Amino acid sequence: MAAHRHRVTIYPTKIHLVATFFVMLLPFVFLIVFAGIAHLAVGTLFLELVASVSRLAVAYGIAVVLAWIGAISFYRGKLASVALPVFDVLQSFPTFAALPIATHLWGRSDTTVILFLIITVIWPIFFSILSNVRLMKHDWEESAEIVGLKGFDYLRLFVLPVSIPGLITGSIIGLGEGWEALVATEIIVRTNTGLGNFFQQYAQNTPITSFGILGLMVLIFSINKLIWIPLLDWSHRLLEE
Amino acid sequence: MDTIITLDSVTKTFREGRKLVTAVENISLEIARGEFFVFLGPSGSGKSTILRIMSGLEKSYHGAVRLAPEIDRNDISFVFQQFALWPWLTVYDNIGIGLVARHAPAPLIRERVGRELERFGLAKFARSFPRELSGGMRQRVGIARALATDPKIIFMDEAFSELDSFTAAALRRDILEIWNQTKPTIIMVSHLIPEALELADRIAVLTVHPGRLEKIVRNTLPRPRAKRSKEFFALEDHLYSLVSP
Repeated sequence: MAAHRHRVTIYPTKIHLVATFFVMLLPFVFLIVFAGIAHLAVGTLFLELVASVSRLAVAYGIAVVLAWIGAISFYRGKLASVALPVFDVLQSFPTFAALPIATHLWGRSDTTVILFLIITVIWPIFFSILSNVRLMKHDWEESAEIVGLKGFDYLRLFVLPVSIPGLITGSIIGLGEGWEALVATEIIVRTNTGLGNFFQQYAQNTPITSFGILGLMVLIFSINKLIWIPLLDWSHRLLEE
Repeated sequence: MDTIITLDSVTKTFREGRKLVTAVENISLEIARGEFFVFLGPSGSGKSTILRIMSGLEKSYHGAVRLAPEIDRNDISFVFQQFALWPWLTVYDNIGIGLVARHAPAPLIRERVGRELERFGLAKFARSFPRELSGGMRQRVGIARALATDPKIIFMDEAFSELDSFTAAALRRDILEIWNQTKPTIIMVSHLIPEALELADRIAVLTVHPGRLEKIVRNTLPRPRAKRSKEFFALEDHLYSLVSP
């Protein structure tokens, strides 16, 4: 089976693929340029960026797993009709309001930032996957039942592919909110490392902060354009009949 | 009769707003091993509902469906009206999915999928995705998927109704050939009298709202059936009078 599965091209041309790799290098290029302008040590700035990106990556990874498990557990059935309104209320909760409590409980730590980021990132991913699997064709589900797919095979070969477009769409929205929340949380929690800490340190230096914000925007835009959008196109082709 | 499946007073009701609607009422019949059996009726006769009940897709109903003791769920397959192929899998993988679900060894999967690809002229399209195929080709994949597990009972829900008449005729010929070779029990739903007459050993005619069993007509016309013969037309008229009294 494996030899034949998912032969769907994400990157239409080799140039596209090379450009994507180039985007991966952008943070480092940006760091060197930025550090040069601000007369900062590249290593220091690199560590700030790594600290922030790792927090977001860990939070995103946990959020994806929890959102996927939640969505496939509650997409149908009696439990869903009770749980979904509860989730809807929870996602409307102003998360920043919980930040003082979280800081009180876990202090100015990575745990506080990561937990806060999970709460921010998880809902768009959860609801995107949920709407995806709720709207899947009934025939597909019935054919899965007829062929006798069960347990792990059912999740791997059926539910996972069906939920991929929702996962990608939710990730784009969730990470967009995540980037925003990341810097804000780091500033509010006053972490010792991270971009938030960096921006706070140079709050009075308008050129440096403006350049930093612009650089971050370019980076996020490029990642979106060169990684997420091709993935989104691919995921939609995956379910195209 | 060597019965493979028995329906005993099967009734299915469902709620539509505040109303309770009866889709099928008190259906009792027996189908023999190796028989080609067709449920015939217009829209609203509950023929697809019966098929779904018999195949286990519909679990909430009154009455009983009994399979022969040696038959289990792995012996059943289903051909869907709208193909129900998984667009994220290739033709090869769609055909082999039932075997994968049964944890069949890789050589057996290769052999069976290869057999079905050859049988339906799909070998060149093994690595294609369903969206790259015509409707007729997709239904060939749907039938190949149903046959790859060597089922003892095949349910077919208006399997040719989404296809043009030429493709449908070709697929009917393919199905008859396979049935002649391996004699699985085929239980099919159709709203087309000539199709039912071409294929079936027996035809269960259903009434509309609710779906009740009007009559079971035995089709003794010799195979291959001459669709322009006097006997064929006579039986067609008889069925027509039963379907629309």
